[in-house]
Amino acid sequence: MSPFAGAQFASPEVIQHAPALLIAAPLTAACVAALSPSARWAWFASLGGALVSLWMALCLAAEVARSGAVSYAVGGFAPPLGIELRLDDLSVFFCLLVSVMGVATSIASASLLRLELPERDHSLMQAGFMLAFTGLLGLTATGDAFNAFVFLEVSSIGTYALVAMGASQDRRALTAAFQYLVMGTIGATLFVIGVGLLYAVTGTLNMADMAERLAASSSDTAAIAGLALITVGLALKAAMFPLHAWLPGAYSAGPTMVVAFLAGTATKVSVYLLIRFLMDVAGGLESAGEGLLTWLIAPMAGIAAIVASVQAVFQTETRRILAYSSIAQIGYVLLGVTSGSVAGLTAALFLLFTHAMIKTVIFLSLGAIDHRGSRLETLAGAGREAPWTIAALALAILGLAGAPFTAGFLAKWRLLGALADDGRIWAVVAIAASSLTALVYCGRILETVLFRTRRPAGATISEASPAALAAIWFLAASSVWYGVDASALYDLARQAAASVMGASP
Amino acid sequence: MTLALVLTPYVYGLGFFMMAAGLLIALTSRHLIKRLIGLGVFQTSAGVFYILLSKVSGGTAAIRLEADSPAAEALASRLDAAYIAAHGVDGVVYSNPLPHVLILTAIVVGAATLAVGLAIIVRIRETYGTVDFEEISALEARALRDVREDEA
Amino acid sequence: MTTGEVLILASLGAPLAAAGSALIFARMRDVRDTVTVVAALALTCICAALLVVTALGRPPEMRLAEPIPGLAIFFRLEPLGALFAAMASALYLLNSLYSIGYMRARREPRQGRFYACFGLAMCAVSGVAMAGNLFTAFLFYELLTFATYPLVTHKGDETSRRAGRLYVLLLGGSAAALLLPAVATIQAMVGSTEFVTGGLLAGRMDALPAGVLLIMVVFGTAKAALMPLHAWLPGAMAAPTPVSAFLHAVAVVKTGVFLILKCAAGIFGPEIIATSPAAQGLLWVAAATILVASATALTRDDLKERLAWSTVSQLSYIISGALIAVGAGVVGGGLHMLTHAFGKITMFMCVGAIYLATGVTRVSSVSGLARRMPLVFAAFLVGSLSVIGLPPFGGMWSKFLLITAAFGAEQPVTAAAMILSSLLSAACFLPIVISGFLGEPGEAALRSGPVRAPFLAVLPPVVTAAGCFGLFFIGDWVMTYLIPIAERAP
Repeated sequence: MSPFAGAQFASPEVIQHAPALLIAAPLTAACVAALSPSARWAWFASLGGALVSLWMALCLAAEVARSGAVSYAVGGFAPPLGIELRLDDLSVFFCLLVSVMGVATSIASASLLRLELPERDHSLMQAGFMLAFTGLLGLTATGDAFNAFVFLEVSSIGTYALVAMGASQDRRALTAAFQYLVMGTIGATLFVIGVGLLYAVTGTLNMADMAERLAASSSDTAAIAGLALITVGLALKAAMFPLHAWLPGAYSAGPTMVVAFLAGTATKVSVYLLIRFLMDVAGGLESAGEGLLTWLIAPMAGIAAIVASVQAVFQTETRRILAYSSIAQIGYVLLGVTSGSVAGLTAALFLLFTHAMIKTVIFLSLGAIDHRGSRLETLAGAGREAPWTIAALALAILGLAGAPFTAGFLAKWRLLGALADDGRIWAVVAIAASSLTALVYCGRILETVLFRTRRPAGATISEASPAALAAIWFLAASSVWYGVDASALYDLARQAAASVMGASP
Repeated sequence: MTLALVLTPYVYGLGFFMMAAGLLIALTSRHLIKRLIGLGVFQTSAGVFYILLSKVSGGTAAIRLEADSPAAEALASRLDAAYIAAHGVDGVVYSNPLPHVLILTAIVVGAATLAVGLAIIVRIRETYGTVDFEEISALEARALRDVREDEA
Repeated sequence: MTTGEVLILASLGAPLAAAGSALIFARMRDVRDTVTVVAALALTCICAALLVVTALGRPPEMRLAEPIPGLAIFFRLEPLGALFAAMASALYLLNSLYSIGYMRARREPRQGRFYACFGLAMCAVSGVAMAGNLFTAFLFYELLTFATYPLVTHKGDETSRRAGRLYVLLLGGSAAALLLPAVATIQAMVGSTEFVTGGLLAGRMDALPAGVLLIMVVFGTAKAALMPLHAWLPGAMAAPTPVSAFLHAVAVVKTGVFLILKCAAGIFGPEIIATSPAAQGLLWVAAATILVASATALTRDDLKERLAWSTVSQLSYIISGALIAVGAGVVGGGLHMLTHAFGKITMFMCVGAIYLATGVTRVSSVSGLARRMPLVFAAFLVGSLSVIGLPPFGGMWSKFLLITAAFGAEQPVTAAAMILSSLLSAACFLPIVISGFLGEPGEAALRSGPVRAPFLAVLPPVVTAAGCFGLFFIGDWVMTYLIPIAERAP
């Protein structure tokens, strides 16, 4: 039972065009923000764009709950020849994820930007942010493989520029952005070559159509090669081990607002595409999709869970610790995705959503107290000076460590249970070892912010602005609420998982 | 046409050579602009690949031809009628136009990426005074050491 | 809402309310301390009521929330849990009084946070005691780790921070790496984690996977301090004495062994434990822990550390009780949980009182001190006699029961370890008392400082010492009360 069953968020005319409005709204907002005369107006534009997208995502969730997948023919050209926007349970799940994180980041963005960048850059930052937001939403909504590439690059190009904007605070942002650009472009190009191979095999770019034709054809070497290229390309974008080298640099030097948004969404949406291609599009090609999942992604995910966690322990900069933790968490998620059962995929999606909330809270609150690429020690005693912000941060870190009564705990619980049930004992061992390590770095952060006293030379830390606090606490409180009553989110995840697994017999 | 038939596998090979060369340059060059050039070559190889996919043997560019125009007749004279009946549209065989369109989009995307990349390089040059990757790394390492010494 | 549900909610809510008001009134010390004591008193009454209701054969139960369909936060009392909750709440009340005396005399900083964490820890203990399934028990077990971490690091110096790190790493780490996967696996394979008479897994799982799960549960519950996961307990002695007394003689460690007892009785069941080679191996580890820890205790000069090592040893008695596949083992383990808690908290409180009055923390300096504080030393003597297992104190019954059970189950190694360790305990504690009463007055005893132990720091150990004595007479009743938990599957 979807929590959105029976809900009606707008009139039928609006709902009819919701898939297009979902993407058009932030795109328009990006243009408005770029042209707006002041930082304030740019903020309003981005807030408006994000809110409209969230509204549309809610409309679509209700619509999908009522009548199944929603299809929208862009420009009136009927699919499969025309480009189709297609939202099923899985896409809607990610749509909600991206738009919720987008709104939260947008609300907090004005005060975060004020701390980090000169006023004249704000409108461009908001424009870039909206562009990246558009790309990610487009990725979740599109039903066309090549269109997916375009949206992937729209979001990535926006992101490269945004990360580079961190240079006014930390010059390493430039090299990090460049590194990110090179790796990201390589990933996207591999992806597009893979799509080309699939097109050569099936003669179509529409993903649903492609799935049918692949299922009809017997196992085809070119299709497998295409899927392999797509997997590697997306693995680069998702920072899957060992293709994660760009991520710590980008996370540690980019402006905090950008990092908060990226950490919550960008890698997650790449995981969405992986699920879409390997489990839905290639669902009929059992040997290909499953082979890649079982023999390539699963072992890498297991190694990522352990190695990245250990690397996180040895970092000195707060944001690098968190970056490596993200890489490990992507490993957890992929372990769930590759488990091959509805329960495993459900747990993975649930973990993905809760982790997105947790990481967004952490980075937003670090940004709100103006803690940039600095070392963890500079946060010593922050709990006394900014109690509200740090309380949210501490809640989120507890969630990251998997403490009880947080959503992170339930997610890990479900994941372990599903993996054990599928007999993947090695994956259970990997996650257990990784959570043990996670306890060390989470404990280090908590000890520093809560139980240490400030060093006399340190700069003072001030509380986050009311708007930022509202966004941070909304997400932090939800992550705790989903630790006590997760049924709404869990049902969404389960339906998304069932819709994918149902497609692959 | 015979020439094209002979060359086809080698043209795919050319595509793969470009891909490998581009990747190598993009990943290993010290010079940041050279890296971008490598990236461009790599992206172009994807374009070459798509264009090769689109080629239908004996087909012409996807610009509408009347069946009785001289150009169509010249084309038809090189192909046998059964082939045209199987693959042609109104008596003319066209190559698949869709990959061209797709790759046009990809070229635009690539141009945008290069523009952002070059902009970042300009800023790197302003900040570090060099576009050599190893020199930048050395500068960063020195900066890190200075910070450590200050703290000690 | 039934009476039982109200009682369950109240026993979780009372300490939580204490925690909240301790934070709100952090700076008004009289209000804060009064609220804590009132809440502790209320909790004691509630738990006594729960004990009675359970004894009448109407165990209350309640479904608090269902985070994910099919996975509920669920409470159901049974005799062992009710007894544990009652014991913990009564000692919480006494220890709150003691804390007030101790913390005020020492003028400790951050007392608001201190009482808040205490309340939260007590709430977690209630949650574990009343848990109706392993999932709920695990949730509150983990909460207890996080709630007590600030107490261990209370002093805020590098030593206590290091102890805190070890504490979280061993307790939280073992739970995350071993216990959580085990519990999640049970949930996934059996579809439930409910505690069932005769064992949830009995007849539903093969011996081999069940044995692996048993090992994961026993080592994952590092609060029970089975070697080699015991190092956190001596380290945690860096905390103020009330913390050591209540948490590291009663709440935290007893939660660990309680969970193992519950799992042995309600999850694995006697059949699996009797046949599993894993249980046999664990019994040997427990026997080794009993001996090694009591021998180590002998070598420690620091009073609190000596007590901590002795606790490590005594906890393994209870683990052994859980792993001896006869009913008397589980009952004896439950009884030992109770008697050892009374004995050990008495000793800790006495050590704290000695420290307050004289500043002495070492065994080598207690010589002759009993002349200055005879009441405290008498209480210490009672506590140690009970822990050693001599009549007329409660500890005798539980040790007697455990040792006979070990012989009955043909586990001579365990029985021998228990007997030998009792002798070591005697060698460990009696010299302290003897040198206190009869020794030449040392430097500390002669330097008659003006500071006397405050009344509130002396009364509670005397009361618990009386409790040790009382337990000798009601031991039989407690045993009868506990027997239902050792029932086999119908």
